[in-house]
Amino acid sequence: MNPLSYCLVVRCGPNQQSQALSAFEFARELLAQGHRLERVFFYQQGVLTASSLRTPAQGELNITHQWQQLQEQHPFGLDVCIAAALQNGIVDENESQRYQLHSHNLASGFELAGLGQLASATATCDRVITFGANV
Amino acid sequence: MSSLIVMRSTPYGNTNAKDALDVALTLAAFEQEPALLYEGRGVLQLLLSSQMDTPFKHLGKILSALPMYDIEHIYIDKDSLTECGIDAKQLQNLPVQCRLLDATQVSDLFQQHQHVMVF
Repeated sequence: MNPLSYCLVVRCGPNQQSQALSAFEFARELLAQGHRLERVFFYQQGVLTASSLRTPAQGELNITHQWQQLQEQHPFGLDVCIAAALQNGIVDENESQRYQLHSHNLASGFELAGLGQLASATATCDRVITFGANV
Repeated sequence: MSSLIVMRSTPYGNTNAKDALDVALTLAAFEQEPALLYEGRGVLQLLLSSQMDTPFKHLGKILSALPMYDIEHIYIDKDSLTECGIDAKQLQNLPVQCRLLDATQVSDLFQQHQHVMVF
């Protein structure tokens, strides 16, 4: 088997459960099969996955934690589109200072990034797979 | 190593149309020459004069910027126009040049691109 390099694009929110979960399970499985995951790019509603303030009901899966744990085992980028993040109230410390907001909530392991990261992934990855496209 | 961006959503029902154009402009800025295909209800995005003033950015403004970014491969699925009751003449004043494709040509277009992103 030839290992392939992947970029996943997550466009659904963390509460669109089956789609959000499919993205995560696809990532876990491709790594288990020896492929390379270059980055996961969170776009549109997907950026909400990166909020450290998400508190799912007791006994329910926290997809944010799942991504963080997977990334600790296999280093890959968890890139959050900065424009979509700001629109949806996801900010890191820098952006919080820049816009004089009273707090920041970007979960650890996630990074704010421009669409350029997606462009670089389409240039270098063998496969770009989108999850949660609302069309 | 090229990407095809498929425009399949109505113009302002959600942010797909604008988000797709943002991706296209970024790919172009990185010199990847993305192609755009309007199909399904996405062809409604091209009826610019019928789009009322909205608090959102008018898609026509973004469309007029495409040639500046050297995005020149813009295609429209002919069957989708028919399904939406649009006459090709209604698209004469578009700020960009588009090519009408039949079903076989649309299928070829998907084959020709390494990455396809549907919005």
